[in-house]
Amino acid sequence: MSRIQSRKPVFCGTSSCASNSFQKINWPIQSFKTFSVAPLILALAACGGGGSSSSSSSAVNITAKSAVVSHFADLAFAGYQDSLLAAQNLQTAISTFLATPDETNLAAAKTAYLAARKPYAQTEAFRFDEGFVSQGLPGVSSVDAWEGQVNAWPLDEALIDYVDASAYEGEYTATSNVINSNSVTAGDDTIDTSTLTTDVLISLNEVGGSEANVATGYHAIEFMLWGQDINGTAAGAGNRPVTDYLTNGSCTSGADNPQPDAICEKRAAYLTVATTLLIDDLEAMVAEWNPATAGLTLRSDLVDSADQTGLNRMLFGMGSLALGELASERMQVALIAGSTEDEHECFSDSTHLAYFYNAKSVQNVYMGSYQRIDNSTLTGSSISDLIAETNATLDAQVKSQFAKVDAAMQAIVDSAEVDGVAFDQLIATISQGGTSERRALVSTAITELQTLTDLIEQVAAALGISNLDSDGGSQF
Amino acid sequence: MKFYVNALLIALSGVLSACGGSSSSSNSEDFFKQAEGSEALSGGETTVFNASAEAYSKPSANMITSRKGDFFVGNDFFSDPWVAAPASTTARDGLGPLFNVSACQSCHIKDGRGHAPENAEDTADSLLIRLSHPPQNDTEATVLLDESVANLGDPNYGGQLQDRSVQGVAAEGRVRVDYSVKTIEFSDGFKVDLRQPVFSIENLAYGALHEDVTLSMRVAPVMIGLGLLEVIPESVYLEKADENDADGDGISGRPNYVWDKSLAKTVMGRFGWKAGQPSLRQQNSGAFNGDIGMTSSLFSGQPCVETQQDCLNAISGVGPGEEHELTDEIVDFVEFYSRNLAVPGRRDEGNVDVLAGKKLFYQAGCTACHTPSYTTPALAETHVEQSEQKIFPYTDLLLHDMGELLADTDQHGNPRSETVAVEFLATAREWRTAPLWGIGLAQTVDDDATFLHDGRARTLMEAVLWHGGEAQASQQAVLSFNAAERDQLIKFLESL
Repeated sequence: MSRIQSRKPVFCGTSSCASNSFQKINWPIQSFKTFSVAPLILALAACGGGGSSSSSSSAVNITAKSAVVSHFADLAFAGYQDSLLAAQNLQTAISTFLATPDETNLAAAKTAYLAARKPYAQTEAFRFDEGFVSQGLPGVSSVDAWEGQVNAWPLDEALIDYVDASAYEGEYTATSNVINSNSVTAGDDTIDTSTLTTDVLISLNEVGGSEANVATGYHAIEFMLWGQDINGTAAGAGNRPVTDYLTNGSCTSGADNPQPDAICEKRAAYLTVATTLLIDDLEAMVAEWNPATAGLTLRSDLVDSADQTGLNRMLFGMGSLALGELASERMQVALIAGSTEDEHECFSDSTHLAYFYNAKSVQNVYMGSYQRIDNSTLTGSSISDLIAETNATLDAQVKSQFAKVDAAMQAIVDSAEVDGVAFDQLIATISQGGTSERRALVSTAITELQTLTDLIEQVAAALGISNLDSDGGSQF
Repeated sequence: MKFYVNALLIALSGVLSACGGSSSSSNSEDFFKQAEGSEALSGGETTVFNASAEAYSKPSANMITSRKGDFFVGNDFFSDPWVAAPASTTARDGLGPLFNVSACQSCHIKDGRGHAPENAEDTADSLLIRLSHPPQNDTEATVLLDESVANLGDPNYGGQLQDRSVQGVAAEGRVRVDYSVKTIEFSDGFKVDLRQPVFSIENLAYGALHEDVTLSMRVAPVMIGLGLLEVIPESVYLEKADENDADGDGISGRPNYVWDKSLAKTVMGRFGWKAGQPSLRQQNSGAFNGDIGMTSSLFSGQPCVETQQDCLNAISGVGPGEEHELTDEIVDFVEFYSRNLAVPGRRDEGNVDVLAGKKLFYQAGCTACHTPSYTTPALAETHVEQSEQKIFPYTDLLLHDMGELLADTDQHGNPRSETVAVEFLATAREWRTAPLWGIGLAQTVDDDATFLHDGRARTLMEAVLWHGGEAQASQQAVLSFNAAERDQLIKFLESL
């Protein structure tokens, strides 16, 4: 039997995204040479020790590690709740648009999509739990396992709908696709797409073994609203005409390309089903973090584990998002390749917002603070509090570095929102017509995130965590 | 910095010492009573302690964060598929025109090894076949006098069969394997069924293969620890070479001498099943070219022979302002990545059965080729992770005649003789000693992983039992093991 490596769709990366291991934190470089064999460190690293804070500071140690971990669960609950609320708003806007497909309603749906991404992007630091979660939980097995169906990237749009072949960069080579065919064949697999259901969309994920074959989640919805961005590294996002959704005899697949109404009806069905599935998935995740949910949940699993394990997972998630994902796979790879294919939110050209809020996600976990979509702010015991009590200098350094990351990300946002130069234009190589000034905006953010990750490791060490990775961890 | 090879040479010297691995004696009973020195750290300070499916995918444990970004970037280019030209994303295109797979990790599954097809119907998705033929006349013999020429490829197919292609170009053929059962019996009557493969090529799209062609099957090898093997000076490996078996131990390891394109000279080969590549950069670039169809500074031509017109006419992925489909920058990142995929540390190295198995491993003579340990030299900042590390790779990186059963074959599956050179000096029967570090996790990383150059061995014991030629005496020693000893040997290998 032909076997292609088991792959799961993940956010701009691959299943084998390598990860680090932090077995021994040995800074600075010189210390490598005086390393002594210490298997004992391993034993210490894995088990995390007891729960109580062991600070011997004479100051009153008011922050309990358990409170920090518990508050992290509250942050996750709030983040996923907000994501669900915003997705429900998106669902309403999409329903309105599909009932009356006009420019105004399409614009409103796009606005709702961007609003839905803001809270979700801030949940991404919660994602890196593989190896930290107990096996056999009754609901969602881990955030990391769940996330692929919700936020998979890259997404090969040619699997779903028509593309402009001259600007198409994906690897899906079949001519059939979900909207324009009753079945889709990729590799050895054929999927019946005559009637679209959530199960059909799920079965299309990774069809034929390609991890870019993704039919679910935010980015599928984004593609259905915006369409393919055929502008490369030049200005402009996707520009799907509203006529792609008309069912009064004026249906098109792209401007000036008339189609039977059935095609537009199927597009509407697809958008409806994909949105329904997104809501279903977010509801499941909200339930996992809701303290009122009975039985074993992701929340109970985290809160019931040793405090040190919880802190470990929080810091691992921060570092994984800051360095492994954001600085490296999302930003540096795109910068090196000058590759709009590596750009998230490439259909809508809202990548700058996703990255800004991803960075915010890391900061939220450290500070124990999250500004909700109703503009209220959730606060509570934080890693920052723990560090400030024992090493105020380090805490100040971390906060200062977050400010630098924030400024670097803000510069990228301003470029897009104020100057009209989106992320896919910033990463253009010189030979593609890019400029070193624009590229420097991205490389500065990368450098600041790298420095931030160094500090995250120092925070971990200060909390007695010498091995940030979990045994099964696959990131950072 | 003094280099030493600590296993066999020291075993022979019989020096006794209480501690500090470098002077322990494997002759001493004490040597096997407990784990020696730092042997748990197979890759020195680069060692990662992870026994999960991610065990081969971690960066060197001693890497500072600011360098890890480069590792993750390299991982992306190692993992993500390349696409056919033309694509407006010029950095991502260039696949083919002929290729085996579209991404490195498609074969190096989770940075680990590939596997043989299971049967005649299965696809060879992580194994490829190299093609060569002996010189047929003086003209061809003259070509081989050029030090930079590894071999004479097939006239119609080149040096490697590519079983996939971009649109408009025919794939060269399909790899097929048929197995027969070969039963081998231990002296206590215990039997193991081995599967003897016969590889052939079906659906040949460009005419017949050369009548005297040699098929050399190669499963994708594991990617860990390569940067450590790369920095050990050639002279250290050469200390173990014994081309004419002057010491009469039946082992005549010899280096392959291969062309280094960057240095423009002949050096010892280190990487690949026949040690046909001198450096990671050249190995990576060669694999990008032969397996994925990407051109680069070191391999600037597409993998087409002159009669493959569709292949030659296919659109190149070299974009405006680019010299090759792969920029040097991307090659740099992939090199950094491949240099720093860390070796997982030992599990249970102090276990009594593991230690007993280790002793059996030594007693059976396995360490004559599977040299346990080296220490890397002091290196510049670029290679800081690999600098001054005591490592336990269990290889000598030398070529050994492994016997007729493991030999490369003709197109009908018959073994080629020991006189047929296949890749530079390496003959049809010679294979580079495979490093054993991390091998105990091979099937944890990918449960389909198989062993030996063509993936015929489904288990570690099968791999041991296939050893012939120079390793025949060791194989015979293993065949005399009783059930408990067999179990101990495997426990030792699984602990690596």
